[in-house]
Amino acid sequence: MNVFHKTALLGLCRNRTRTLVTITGVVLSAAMFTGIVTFGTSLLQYLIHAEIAKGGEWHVLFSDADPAFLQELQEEEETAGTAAFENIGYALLEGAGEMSAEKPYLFLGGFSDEALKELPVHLTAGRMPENEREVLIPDHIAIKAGVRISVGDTLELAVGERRIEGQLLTQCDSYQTGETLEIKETRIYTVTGIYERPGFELHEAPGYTLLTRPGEEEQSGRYSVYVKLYAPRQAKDYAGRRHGESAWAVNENLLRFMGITDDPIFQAFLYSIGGILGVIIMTASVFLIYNSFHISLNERIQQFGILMSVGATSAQLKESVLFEGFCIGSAGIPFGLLAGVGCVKMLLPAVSDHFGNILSSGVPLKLSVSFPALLLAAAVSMVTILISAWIPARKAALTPVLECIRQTGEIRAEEKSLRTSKAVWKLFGLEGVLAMKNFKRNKKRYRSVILSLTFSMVLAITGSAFQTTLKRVAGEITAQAADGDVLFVAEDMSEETFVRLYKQMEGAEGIYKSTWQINPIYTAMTDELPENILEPYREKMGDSSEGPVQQIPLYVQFIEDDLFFDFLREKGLPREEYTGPDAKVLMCAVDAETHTVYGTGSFINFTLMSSSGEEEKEICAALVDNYPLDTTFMDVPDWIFVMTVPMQQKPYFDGIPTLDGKLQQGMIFWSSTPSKTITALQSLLTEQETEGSYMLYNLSKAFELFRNLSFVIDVFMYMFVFMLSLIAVANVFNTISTNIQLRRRELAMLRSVGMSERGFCRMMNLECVFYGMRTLLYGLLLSGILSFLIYKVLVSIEKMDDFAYVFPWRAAAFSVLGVFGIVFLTMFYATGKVRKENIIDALRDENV
Amino acid sequence: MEFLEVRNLCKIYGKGANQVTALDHVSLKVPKGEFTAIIGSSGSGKSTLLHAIAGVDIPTRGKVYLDGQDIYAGNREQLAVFRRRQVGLIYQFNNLIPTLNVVENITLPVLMDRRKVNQERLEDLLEHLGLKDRRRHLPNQLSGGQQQRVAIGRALMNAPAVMLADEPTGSLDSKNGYEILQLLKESNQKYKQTLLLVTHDENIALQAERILTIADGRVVRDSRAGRTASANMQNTQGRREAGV
Ligand SMILES: Nc1ncnc2c1ncn2[C@@H]1O[C@H](COP(=O)(O)OP(=O)(O)O)[C@@H](O)[C@H]1O
Ligand SMILES: [Mg+2]
Repeated sequence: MNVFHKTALLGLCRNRTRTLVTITGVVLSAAMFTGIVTFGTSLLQYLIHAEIAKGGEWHVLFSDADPAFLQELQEEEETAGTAAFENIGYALLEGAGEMSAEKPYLFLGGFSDEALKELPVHLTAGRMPENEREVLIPDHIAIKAGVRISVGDTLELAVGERRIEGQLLTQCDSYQTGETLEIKETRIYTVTGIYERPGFELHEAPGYTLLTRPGEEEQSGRYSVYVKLYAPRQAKDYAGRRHGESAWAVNENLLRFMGITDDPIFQAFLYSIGGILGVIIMTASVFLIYNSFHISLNERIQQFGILMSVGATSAQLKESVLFEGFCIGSAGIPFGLLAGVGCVKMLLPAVSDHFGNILSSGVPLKLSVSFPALLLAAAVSMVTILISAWIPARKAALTPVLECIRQTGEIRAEEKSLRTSKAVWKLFGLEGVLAMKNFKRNKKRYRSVILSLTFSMVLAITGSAFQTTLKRVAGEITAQAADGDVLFVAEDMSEETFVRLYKQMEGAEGIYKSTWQINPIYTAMTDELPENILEPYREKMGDSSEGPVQQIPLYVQFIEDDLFFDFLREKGLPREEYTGPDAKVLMCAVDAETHTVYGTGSFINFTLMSSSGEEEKEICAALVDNYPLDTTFMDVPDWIFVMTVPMQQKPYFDGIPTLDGKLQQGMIFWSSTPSKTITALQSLLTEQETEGSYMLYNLSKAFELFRNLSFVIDVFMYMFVFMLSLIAVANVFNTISTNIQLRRRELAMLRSVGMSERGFCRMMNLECVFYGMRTLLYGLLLSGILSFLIYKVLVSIEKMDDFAYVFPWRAAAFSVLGVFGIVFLTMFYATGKVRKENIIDALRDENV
Repeated sequence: MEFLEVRNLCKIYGKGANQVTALDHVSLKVPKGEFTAIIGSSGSGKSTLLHAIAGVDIPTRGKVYLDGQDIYAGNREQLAVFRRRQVGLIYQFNNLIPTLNVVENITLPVLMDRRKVNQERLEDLLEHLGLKDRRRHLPNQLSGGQQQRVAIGRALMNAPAVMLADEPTGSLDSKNGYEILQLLKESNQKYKQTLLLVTHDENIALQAERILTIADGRVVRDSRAGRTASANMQNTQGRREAGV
């Protein structure tokens, strides 16, 4: 170790506070970098594993391979593994409605034991098939196509090949108009169970995958081959080179999370978010490290001046400085890496539950450390340290020796620039003047304090503004959304069955509230419709009738009595008029397109008719401005008359024929865990004997996804704000305490000419107020502007008006408190020592 | 009791092997208005004594009485007020506030007391100190001598009861030094100030009414003006040092 290394080390030891603070800065910034990166990689790993659990670990699918090609693929060097099942053929899915137009087939796959080992199958009901006459059906047949097939059903399928212009089509070829299904044979299967939509079925595949076992003979000789590669990055390339005759596809879902994707939106999202985060973190940490060196710039330069005056060359200086930087880095960076990883490890259990809701895959969210990322974090920190340490050395080398020592550069400030106004005198007295002068002199040094405080403040405020605005927007959207989270709609089910089902279903997992209703459509005749309804109605529906008599379809809801009478009370209507044989009903006339309600407040009499035109029942309806519960009608015309009747009145309506001859019933469930509830209801329903058809809808899906996403954003946001605030605190602490250290002598001088302790505190506090005010000025202004912009953008995206801008007062108040808290505490700490010190010791001490 | 009394003052720096006794049971009495010169070789404890009297360096043992008051008996606030009102201390080294200009530095003790600045006295001081055309300059824009004169101005501004000057003319040429001394003496006579002045310069010491000689932290000689020749004093000091 040469003398320069020794001086460098000694310097570090002697200025212990400064060194510690610098190292703390290094630790913090490295920790932040590591933390964010580790959280990101853990999340990605989680998504990858969840995807593998859902769809299997494969990268390329060849959907039409013959045995020779299959073997070729298996023997391929790049292939890490294959899973193959037999393509038995396609059959039409009968009863599939409009909802499944692009997926009209059943696709039969013969799965060997090996295939089942590689490709994940999640049974929700029944058991696995054991031979070629048994079959599993996927649950999205019911959910998506609305076709109900139960365990134990027998399926008679006309199986064949899809072709277009003679060309064989496979699961990789989505449904095309003009394709034909060439029936080869009829097969009979027994349904042994239901399984979740298989993840290995491509999203755009035209057939629902029915899982059966391969037969002993009569093999088709055609396979779907799922290939796992050693180098997933090569997937497209590999497929392009190898596909032979077969159609192929890559596993976009999986590759996307590995960062291999052509999807421009996903890429843009990944890169822009990642980029912004990265830049902010880098800037913040570079800033912190740089600053912790910069504060002592002048002292360093002075020291270098002295060294140079005794003959050190600038090369030696630089070397000593780099050595010092290296020491600090070696001390701080390892701790930073550890701290970052540790923080994420502690944080993960807290967030993993929420991720479980997004993807109910059962894969745990585990810590995943990326070594390249750690290396990057270490390298970035080290480079920043070295550069920051090197700058004063270079400055010193460029400055004449004497100037370095005398430090005339420090306060080149003109007297004029330090002049303070009379107002400061009047307001704050001598202490105020001194504080102000100091503030002015140290402007450059304190710029970093103000900047980093402003930075964290703006981030905290706009972050919270972003969150609340997003939530408010979502609130507006979801306020317009349907009642309930899960909807069950049955058609032509006997009331007995329906009620029995309801009793069973309302106890399903996650449900905390439920209701049911019966929804017939009646035809009504009236001549009492007021003009303000009749006219817009006729116009809307293109009805050319004239005169007061009008025939209208009535969309009726029989709802639970409590619900009805609560609603009645809300509207201030007398209960007695709505009970008994001559009870009134409620009606609401709505333009379903514009959601405008017409003719509130009046009463109309009308007659319910049978389809043959016979009069069935006379009733009087009170027109109200809304109805208590969403109906379960799926297709409603542009104008709808909703009639609300309590269940107790239902007997009076029995026997009235409905418009379309059908009777619809619905249940609405409110659930805290909608996707789990849906799964529970599905398995419950598969065990039930029912007539008629039914459908289950997850109304909350979009909202739930949003909720979870917003939680993820929250976590990121808070972590981010937290880290940045820590950096800001470190920065502020660093700057203020070093600055006080450097002003030790000057402060002692003030005391030696008789400044009292109270005056001294007053001066320091005023200084704090000046920094604080400056920060607040910039911070509040900037966050106001930014949060307004965010509001503007979100509102314009969602096309919402009458949605006022609200300044994030709460967050702002917290930040203001935070800013002053940090500054005052630091000042208090930093001046604590100086205040108690023997004056002459401080005055004598030249090398602060 | 005399106006200024120092009793058994001790100041010990450091601990163990590094221990340095800068003041070793120093006692002295100074009547009001007396001009005393303190001489002694470098490192003998002159500055330490002055600092202890000025209330900026807390002594290890012993007491300092001014006007019958023990200056270290009160709390920090009282000590601060004492420094502000009662003493004017001129340091051996420059200790101006870098953010304040000449006038502000000079009037600092007055401003600190929230009193009105006596403009007449300020002008007078600026005139005498030769700083009239430098009033708005910052300390780092001044030469060493000028800085020292600002410090003297600051000490004189309040016309404090006790003036303590630690080699005030050390960094000045003889003409400047002479002027400064005249200023101090004038102030001493005009305001009945007690003046303690540390110096190396025999000629300056000889102008004092009384000369204290300090060696190794002890007062080794105390002589009234005119009675001791400088050569004699040197001898005495030499003997004492040999005897220790
Ligand atoms: N802060 C200190 N730490 C240790 N020793 C000190 C300190 N200040 C002064 N001394 C020692 O005390 C003695 C007296 O110093 P001082 O009063 O400054 O002497 P001078 O008579 O030259 O003014 C010297 O020996 C000096 O080394
Ligand atoms: Mg001295």
